[in-house]
Parts: sequence; C-alpha cells; structure tokens
Amino acid sequence: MFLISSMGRGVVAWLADVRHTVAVAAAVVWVAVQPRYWPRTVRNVLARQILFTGYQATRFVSTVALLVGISVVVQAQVWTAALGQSSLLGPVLVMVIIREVGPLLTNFIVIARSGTAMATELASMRVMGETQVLDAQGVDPFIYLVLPRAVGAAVSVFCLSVIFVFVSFIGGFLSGVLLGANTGGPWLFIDSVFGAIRPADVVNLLAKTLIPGLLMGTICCIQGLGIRGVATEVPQAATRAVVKSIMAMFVTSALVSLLTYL
Amino acid sequence: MKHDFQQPQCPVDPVLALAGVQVTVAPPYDTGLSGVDLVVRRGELVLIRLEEGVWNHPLADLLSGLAVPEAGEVRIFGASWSGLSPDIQALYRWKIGRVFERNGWVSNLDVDENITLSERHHTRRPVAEIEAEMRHLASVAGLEGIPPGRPAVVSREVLQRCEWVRAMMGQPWLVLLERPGQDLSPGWRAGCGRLVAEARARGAAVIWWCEDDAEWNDKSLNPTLKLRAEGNTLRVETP
Repeated sequence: MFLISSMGRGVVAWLADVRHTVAVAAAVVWVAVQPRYWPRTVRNVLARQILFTGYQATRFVSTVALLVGISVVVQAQVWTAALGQSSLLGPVLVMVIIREVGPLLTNFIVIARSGTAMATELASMRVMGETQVLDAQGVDPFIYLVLPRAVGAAVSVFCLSVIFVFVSFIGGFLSGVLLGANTGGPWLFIDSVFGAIRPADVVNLLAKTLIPGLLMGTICCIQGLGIRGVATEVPQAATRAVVKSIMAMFVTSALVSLLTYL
Repeated sequence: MKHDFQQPQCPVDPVLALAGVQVTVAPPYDTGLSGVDLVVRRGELVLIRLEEGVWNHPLADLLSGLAVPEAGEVRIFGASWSGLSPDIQALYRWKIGRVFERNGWVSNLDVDENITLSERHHTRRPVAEIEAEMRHLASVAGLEGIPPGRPAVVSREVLQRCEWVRAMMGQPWLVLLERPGQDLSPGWRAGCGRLVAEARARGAAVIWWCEDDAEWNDKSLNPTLKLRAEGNTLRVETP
C-alpha cells in the first residue's frame, strides 16, 4: 500500500511539474506574439541570447555535423550503392539526418552549452536579489529574463539544426568523393536528397527544433528562478535543468515522430 | 550640462497613503509593522530613523508593492496595490526611484545600462536623451561621469552615488532612499541632498531611511516629517 501511494505521489508531482512547464511555455508563446511585450531592452536580451546560444555555437555544431556527415552519409552512400538501391539514398538521409540526428544532436549541444549557463545565471541572479531589483524598477522578470531566453533558444536550435543538416550533407558528400564512394556527382546527390524532402519533413524539423528549444529555455529559466535564494542550490538547479530539458527533448521527439508516421 | 527633459508630475495628491498596515516579522525582514498610518504628499520628505542593527525594513517593499500587508492598505498614486494588474503595477514601479539597502545592481549589465534600464524599458525616449539625463544627474550627485564596466569592478562609493542617479532617472513621483549614505565618506550628503531637493521641487515625494545622528539632525535636508522606527511601530517626531 505504501509503495503504491508513494508511486502515486511521484506521478502526481511529475504531472504537476509537466503542467507547470507547459503553462509557462504557453505563456511565453502568448506574450511573444504581442508586440507591446517587446520593448528595446527585451529585444536587446533576445539578440544577446541568439548571439550566445546560436551564433557562438555554429563552429562547434558545424564540426559535429561534419563528423556525423562523414560517418552517416558516407555509409549510406556505400551501402545503398552496394545493395543496388542508390535511389533510396535521399529518403534514407532525409529520415536519418533531417528527421532525427540533426535536431537531436543540436538540441543536445544547446542544452549542454547554453542550458546550464542559462539556469546558473538566473539562479545566481536570484541568490543576489537581482530579480527583485528588476521587479522594483517595474521590469517584469518574466518579460525581461524568461521571454527572450526561451524564444532565443527556440530560434537558435532551429537555425543550428538547419546548419547541421547542410554541413553534414556537404561533409558527407565530399568525404564520399575523397574515399572513392560512388556518389554519382554533386547534382545527382543534391537532387536525390532534396527530391526526397516532403512537407512533412519540414514540419517535422520545425517541431523537433522549435518546441524542444522553447521547452529547454523555459525549463532552464524555471529551474534557475525557482530556487529559494541559497547559493548551494545553484549547481542543483543547473543539473535539474539539464536533466529535465533532455527528457523534454526526447518526449517531444518521440511524439513528433509518432505523429509523423501515423 | 544641458538637460531639458520634463515629465508630468504625479497627478494624484497624496502620493502615498498607508492605513492600518500590519506585517509580521519574518524573513527576509528584521522587523514587522503594526497599525502603521502614513500620508505623504507631493514634494514632502519623510525621514525614518531605523534602530541600530535593524536591516531589511519592510516598508520600502510595501511601498513598491513587492510585499503584501497582512492587514491594512497601501495606496500609491491614488490606487491600492492589491487592485492593480501586473502590467499597471510594473508601470507604477517605473515611477518609483529607489536606492536599495542591499545589492541594487544587475551584475550582467554595465553600470550605465543598469542606470538607464528602466527608462529604456518603459519609454521610447531616444537613448541620447536618456544618457543626457543620466549625465546631468551624475554631475548633480558629484560624479565626474558614469564609470564604465560592470558594477563588480566599480568602487563601492562611486556605485552608491550611481544608485542615487538611477533612483532619480525619469523624474520619479516617489523616491525611496534606503540608507543612501552607507559606505560613503563624510560630506556625501551634499550631492544626495541636491538630488533630493531637485526631485522635491519637481513634486516628488521622498522617503529617506537613516540610522546615524548626522543625517537625522541635518537641517539642510528640511524634512516634512520625522519618524522613529521602534519595534513594529513608527513614532512621529516633529522636525
């Protein structure tokens, strides 16, 4: 009986946590579409967030994408050619890179690189009483801190995923040429890949980048601002933010994949 | 230094009114309040003498709408905090300048960004105009300019003067000065006094918390009302 009740309490707490996160993310979207909540100070924070989360991560994301391209695209080229199914190269790459690997790895990189920084920064601000300083000046911490970070994270994850996809394709094709794989020439490769992209793949990419990015930004802000003001809680908040962001990413990815194939 | 910026005065008088306000002692506050009544009109200065060792007095947070009284009502600019929407509360707080008792800075913004944040956030005034106002107030406060860089790399004394400048930005209707002279060398009151006199002449109400005799007895401040904090009460002393 005790076991069942404790499990039940855990599930109820988890559901409450999910509901809270979804509610805050929905509030971010609701506020984000209203121009009056975008004064120049908030736009400035958004620009800085995209600079840090998006622009400054392009080199690392490109490097990872290049390595993934070499391992995945080359193998796909070699095996589809060996099986006499070269026409399947495009659909296989679209399925692997655009639908799954690109968004997942990009989300991972952004969570590890920016999610921890975001949660730590906001938790430190909370400890130092800086959120109250903002509040006392009429600068709503939700508008000034949470909104631009969550939106910036979503935009950055999407843009980085697009970069990831292109770099992995280019890197995979070039390495295939260098290794002597039967690539069939650049135009054939481009035609094979882009010809295989359907509208559902574009929707899939958008859903697997914008939603987890938004959730990641929201979760990191909730965890960072949710501490009671004790310095020892800062690393704990960062850890919780990363774990919950990764969970949100996998759940979103699985749901979107299911919806794509149903 | 040229500075032509003019904002309308507070349309309501009294600027603030407390009626039967009660707050129990609980963290983060070192003291509570019991049955406090207070009315402050435009251009008035209220000096509050704090007991030695008492920090985190709840009155500033109550007046800013950041703390909620257990009983009584806090009316600011003619409205009760409890009846205002979050958006209107934010606009009201924009018209309250404040020198914080503890850390008053956002660490990931430069000092000048901190000072101009509220004006850049709430208004569409040109940045050049906001910066001109900042430079004017800095000169009145006795600063040669606003130091570059983050608050962490600026001396405590200069930072404290910069807090006065921030509190006066945008011509607030109410100014809350929590121990505005802490960590400053003697003679600091001249600069702060000039800023306060300028704000009062404009119609702003000022509340000044102090704990030393020099501030309490400084006639040049010309307070309208002197209150001595004793336990949970504020006892009136005639200026």
